[in-house]
Amino acid sequence: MSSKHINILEVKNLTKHFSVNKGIFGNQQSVVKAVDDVTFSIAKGETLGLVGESGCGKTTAGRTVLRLYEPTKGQIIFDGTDITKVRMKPYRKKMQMIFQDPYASLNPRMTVGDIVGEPMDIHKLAKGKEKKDRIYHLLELVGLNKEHANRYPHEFSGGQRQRVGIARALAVQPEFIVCDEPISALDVSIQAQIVNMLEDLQNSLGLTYLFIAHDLSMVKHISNRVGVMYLGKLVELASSDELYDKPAHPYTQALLSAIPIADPKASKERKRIILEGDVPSPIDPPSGCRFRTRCPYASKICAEVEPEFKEVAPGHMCACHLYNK
Amino acid sequence: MKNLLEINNLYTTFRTYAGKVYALNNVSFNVGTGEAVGVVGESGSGKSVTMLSIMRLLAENGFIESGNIIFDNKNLSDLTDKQMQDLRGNEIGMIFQDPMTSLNPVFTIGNQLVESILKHTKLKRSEAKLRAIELLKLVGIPSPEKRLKQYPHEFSGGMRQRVMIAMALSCEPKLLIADEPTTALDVTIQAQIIELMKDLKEKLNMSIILITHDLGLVADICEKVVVMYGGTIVEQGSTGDIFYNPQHPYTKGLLKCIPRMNMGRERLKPIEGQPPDMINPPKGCAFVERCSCAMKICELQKPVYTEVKKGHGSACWLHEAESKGV
Amino acid sequence: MELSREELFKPLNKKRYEKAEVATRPSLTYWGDAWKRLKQNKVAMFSLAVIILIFLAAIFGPMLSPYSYSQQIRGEENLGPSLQHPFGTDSLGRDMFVRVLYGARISLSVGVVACIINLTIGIFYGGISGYFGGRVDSIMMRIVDIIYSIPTMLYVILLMVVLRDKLENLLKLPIFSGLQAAGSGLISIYLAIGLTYWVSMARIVRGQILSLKEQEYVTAAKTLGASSFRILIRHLIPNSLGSIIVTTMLLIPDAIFTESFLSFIGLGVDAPVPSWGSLADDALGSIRTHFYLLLFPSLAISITILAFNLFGDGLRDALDPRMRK
Repeated sequence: MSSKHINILEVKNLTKHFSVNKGIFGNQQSVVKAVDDVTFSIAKGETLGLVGESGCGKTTAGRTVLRLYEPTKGQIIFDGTDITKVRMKPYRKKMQMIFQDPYASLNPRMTVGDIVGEPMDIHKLAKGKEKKDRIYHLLELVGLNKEHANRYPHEFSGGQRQRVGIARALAVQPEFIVCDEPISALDVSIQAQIVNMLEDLQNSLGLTYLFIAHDLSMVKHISNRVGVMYLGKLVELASSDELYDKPAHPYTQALLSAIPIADPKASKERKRIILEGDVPSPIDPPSGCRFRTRCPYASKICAEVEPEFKEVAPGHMCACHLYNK
Repeated sequence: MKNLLEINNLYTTFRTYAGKVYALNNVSFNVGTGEAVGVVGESGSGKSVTMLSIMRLLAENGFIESGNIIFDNKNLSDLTDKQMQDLRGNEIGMIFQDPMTSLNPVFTIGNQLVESILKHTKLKRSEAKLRAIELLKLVGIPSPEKRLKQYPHEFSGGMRQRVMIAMALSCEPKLLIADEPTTALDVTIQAQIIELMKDLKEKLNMSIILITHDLGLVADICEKVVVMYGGTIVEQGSTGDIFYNPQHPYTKGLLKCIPRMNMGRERLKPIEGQPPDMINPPKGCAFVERCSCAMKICELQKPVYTEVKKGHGSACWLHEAESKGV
Repeated sequence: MELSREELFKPLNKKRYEKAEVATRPSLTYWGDAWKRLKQNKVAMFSLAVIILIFLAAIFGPMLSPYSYSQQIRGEENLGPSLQHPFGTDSLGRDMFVRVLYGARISLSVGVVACIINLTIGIFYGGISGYFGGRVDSIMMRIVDIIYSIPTMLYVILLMVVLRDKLENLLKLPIFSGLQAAGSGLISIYLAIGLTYWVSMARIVRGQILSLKEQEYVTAAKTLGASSFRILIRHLIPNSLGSIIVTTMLLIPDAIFTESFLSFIGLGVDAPVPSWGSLADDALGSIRTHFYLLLFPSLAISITILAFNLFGDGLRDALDPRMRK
């Protein structure tokens, strides 16, 4: 996992539990183990993809890294500094987020110019004419015009609104951006536009991305390395090509085989691994390996001992007893 | 193969305060018995409106201006509202995108299933209950007897969609219309649902119309593909034709801009521009603004549908240009 | 101009798509859209006209009348409606028309002041309660519940009784000399009503804030580093304005009625200040003989309250976030 670049982000044993009150007097507490003991790092200028299905904790992980949720346990080290318990406001200039829903992530009562300018007000980065110029520059950077600054979000299409959201995130000149499913709500032909733009911005501004998505093909395309999460745990982490060519974890294998292929011949030839049943509840995850209830290779040890997340090939991490020879 | 459903020259509009929205312009395609047809398009393409027009479930401000729909040799516009209601759920089943909101949260699944069965068949309540259990088994829900008594919120998304399918199948429809049935579901659950649909199609010789934006799903389950853009059909043909010999610039563009697993880190080729505004549709081809091959005539006149070979054709002026050697 | 075949099939070279086209729908803000809908509601527009008329009559009416509200004209007691006295005169020879118009001033001012106090306290109380949630919210709402459970009339009467005496003494102080003209009665009404109705506003605002809090643009603002105060003022409250305005509009008739009632039972303004309620009270004695003395004030109360209610309903429908499609 080490690389010749400095790691801009190191996440160690990150855990986030939510308590759910049950019982008449709210005294019976259940705990949703949304993110459990997750460790990874991201090098400067890299894109780390994070995939998984609903309930796997990838969105929670992304938000906890930005301290939108307070971590229950673990450390978040940003550019060498442990930011787990510090005052976040100065770091909000360095770490930003792009949201999934272009319709909900923009305040409908603010003009586009105000939305993009707000971060500058919050951090006192610019005023008056300088602020206006910066706003226009950002709008043009994301492919909009400065005439759009006086319009309201509802006058734009989904893809354009997403561009506004990106411009807003860039207003503070961040180094690291968490992209939380930024293209899932967009039309297919627009998705490619946004992805290309994100890549261009990464090159020109030297950004680092944590790209959270469930569209595996898109994640493979944009990421250098990809991590797979299941029920709060990171089960595999490898370079993009390696993960998709030689998936180690049975869940990753099933996940990859379930992706629809836009090629009728290949689709018919492909062997599908169909997983039985549903994802278990994160309140009461299975003992030992959490995937064992749906795993075609589950054995006795899987129910007793949690598999260790370790290297199974150079730069390729996996948590599975199949590799504990 | 006999045609179960024929849609001929369908034009549908909506009256809104901002003006008349021309949602569908001259839509024509057929669905054979036991055939799965994929209707592919993005927002504003009109794919959902087509289905709502077939089922006569358009909102109050929606009108079918002209064209006809022939289902099982019956002209649907000749049917009264009541006859249409009998048809729905009985001979034509529909499943919608969001299983969370399509099920009534205050009634048990069993209640909703049994009501649906009772409405469309002459079975007694006890018989209907048995049929409901059979259906739940058919769609792969474990311990169906217990599940009948549960409420929608006790089911996961994938399970709910299966229940929707069970409801749609309860009267053994000849045609199943599925409007983005798996968009809200996880990839592994989606795979389960698609396998289920393939299975049912074979067992029951049921026709399926699958409305989706996901070309991968279409490649998996459909024999025929209809590509829509801006309220018109821009191309249709067999699955092989569409994927391996696309004719229309939009189809080609769509296939080029989705990332493939075997691609390297090469750049995606997006289709520039935005989907069209359906209140002021372009006078000519709906795709003219975004087409890299556009010609002067594309702005002025709507292209005519031309067949490249039997069953595969597209609406594009490039055919005319090629054939005339211009 | 007929184009030749060759020209028709010439490729279009220019970039036909505007890099970022905005929707061609007429640009309407949320308020513009609401106003358009409101205009179509004939009942609401008529009520608005009536309200404006009442305001104009209240402001300019007494100025244009040859009589003052306290002027007693000997020899013109108990006259029926005539050209000189459109609403007749009372037992002390005072012109009823100017007294009713002056009463409009009282009622409307109560409505406006109640509005202002109610908005100020209600929005902040509800905003803080809703935004912080948890313990703070529980305690604040329990206080509101307690106040709410006291019957309004009882509450107001209690307040009036307590405030009146205190105010009498307070107003004797030189700093309040300007307010003395209004009379302790009127000021205590302003305070009492203002202190009663904030409770409903607080509840409504809190409810709105609770639901808006979860919106993604609020999360985005937090990610940008916005303070709680900024989020409340810039994001949450502007988006609740619709409900706030409607609640306020529907609260005015309530306040007017309460004031009329208080004056009717003698707890309101001091004589000879003519509130509609006190006019009605005065008229009770001669209900059989000079029925018009009761008729006009009662009509005034009824029409005013009806107009505000109908307009408020129309406003609620127009501001309903049924997004146009």
